[in-house]
Amino acid sequence: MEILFNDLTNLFTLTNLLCILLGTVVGMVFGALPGLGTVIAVALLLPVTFTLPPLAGILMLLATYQAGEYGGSISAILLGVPGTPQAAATVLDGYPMAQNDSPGKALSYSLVSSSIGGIFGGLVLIFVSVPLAKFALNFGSPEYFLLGVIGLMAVGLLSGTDKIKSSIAVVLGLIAGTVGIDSLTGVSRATFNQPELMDGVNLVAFLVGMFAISELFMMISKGLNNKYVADRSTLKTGLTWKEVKGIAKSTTIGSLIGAGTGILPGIGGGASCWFAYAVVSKTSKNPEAFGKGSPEGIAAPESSNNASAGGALVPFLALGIPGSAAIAIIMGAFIMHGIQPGPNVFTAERDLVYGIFYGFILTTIAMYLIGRLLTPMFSRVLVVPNSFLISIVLVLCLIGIYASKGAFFDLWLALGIGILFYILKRLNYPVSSVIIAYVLAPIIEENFRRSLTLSNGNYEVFFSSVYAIALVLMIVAALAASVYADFKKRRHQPS
Amino acid sequence: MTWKGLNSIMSIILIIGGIGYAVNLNQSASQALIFSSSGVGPAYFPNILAGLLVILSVMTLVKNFRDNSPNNIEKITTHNAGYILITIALMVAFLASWQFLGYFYLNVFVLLTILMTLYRIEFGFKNSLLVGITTSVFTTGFLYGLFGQILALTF
Repeated sequence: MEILFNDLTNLFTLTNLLCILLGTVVGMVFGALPGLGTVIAVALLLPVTFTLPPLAGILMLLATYQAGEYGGSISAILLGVPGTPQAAATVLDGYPMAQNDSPGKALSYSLVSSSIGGIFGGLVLIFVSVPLAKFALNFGSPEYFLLGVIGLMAVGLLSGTDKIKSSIAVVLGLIAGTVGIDSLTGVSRATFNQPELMDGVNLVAFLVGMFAISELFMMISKGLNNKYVADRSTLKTGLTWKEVKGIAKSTTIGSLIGAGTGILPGIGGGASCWFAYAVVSKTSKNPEAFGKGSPEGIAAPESSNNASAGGALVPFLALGIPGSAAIAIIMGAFIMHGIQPGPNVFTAERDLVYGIFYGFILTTIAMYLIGRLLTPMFSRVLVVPNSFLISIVLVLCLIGIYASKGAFFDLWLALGIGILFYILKRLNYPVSSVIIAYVLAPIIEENFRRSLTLSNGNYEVFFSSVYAIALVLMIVAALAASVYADFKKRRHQPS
Repeated sequence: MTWKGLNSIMSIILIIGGIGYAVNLNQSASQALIFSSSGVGPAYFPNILAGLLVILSVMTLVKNFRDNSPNNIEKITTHNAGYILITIALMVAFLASWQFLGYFYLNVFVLLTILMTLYRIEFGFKNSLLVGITTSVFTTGFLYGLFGQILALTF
């Protein structure tokens, strides 16, 4: 119960509040712009966190993440084009409601359900993380290695349709994570005689190259002067109490599904919003309204994707396992400040963790308030053509990379990574797996080697405890389920 | 080029990359075994990864080679491919100019003006140039104010 009586004075500082405000605005704008999205926004803001205290920096990224989830629905509702993959299900009812009824009403349903989902996700984070972290204190190196493998398998097996390509993406991320001086022995590895690589591949250059620069090339190929036209005349957001009551059930179901799937690494908001939409449409008293502008059809996916953001923080904070690309970038901010997420962070960085718990709820409140006030303004950015966006974001990417370390090497590296990952994206390699593997690489390798060193190279150490055996069984079960799903899919495919 | 061709080239690049990584790793971490009492030195885990990368890339190569589906033998079409290549060339020129000559904000202004003029060329050269210059002046000014003055970053 100590969690409920924590001193929150550290949270309500001017720096923290300004960072939440900035993160919310950036997240909403980037979330609203089709093609950019939450991950790029978080990656671009990562260098800014260098100069900030850890809590302020992390809250800024969390606010960006939360607001981006709502921002994605702005373009989904006004244009029928989801700003983020997580807003894809919102198009089904949000766009028809905007066309037939009122865009402002559709945005209001989205904002209210996103906010409720966000608060729910925050509560799940608060009440599930602490027991999970306490339980994880029983784990030793073999269990942490196995947990890392589960995290990788979840993203590798679930994020792509081609299992081999997904596995290659995971291995590429792990390889990138091993470059530089080995933390256990001080030996330099795979640096190709580049002193800039001694500290490893620069996280900001890696992220911005992989997500932002490659995405800008994608945007160029999608069209440079596409002009979106949106009706901005009736964008005032607000719901009556009766309307809120009307979406109570769908919002509750969406929040439960979102938080639950968010906790499982690799699933995230993209899948949970479709799952929530399917469940709510089947259990609704008014199923025929779905697809034609049903408020429940907006509330379910929107509450789900914001709740999944809170859920995704649970395994990240309690076990050190990031479940999505955005969380992996936020993990980067922890690492840059010398903080390793996991059960020990609850005692070593108690104020930070509790600040994050309550700060996450604060980011949701900020999202609601700023959404209420500024949604009509954010909708205006939708008419900015790609020709302007690409040029300006490109320059911001380069500034962000240079500001992180002041090295030109990193700029060239990011350009190379951007070109490589543009091609890999076109070939359907799931790039989000790369970044998750990259941030998990040190945890996996260190615990793997520590386990084997302690057991004199005996692999039986990975079956030495009940927890380890349970984790091995989970890995085997996940592999078997994946192989079975592939087998079933092939059987149903026409030859 | 077809998707099959590009897939094969990428697999070969990954195989070469995996081998290059392993070679460099074992050279730079040749003292690996000195540090290990159980054979688990600094090169142990990366060597496993290099092996996995090569094996998985060979599997993709073989799978791709056997895949003659219409999607895979279709020719790759990249809309605005020329613009992508020009953007890459401009980024290279920008980085080289910034690194070797300096004048960051001048370089930013030139890069933005060229990019915006080029991207909007369908609206006519004069119109695009005017819009490009105007937007670049304001953007560069904003960046200078934010990064150069408020955050006091030097480029």
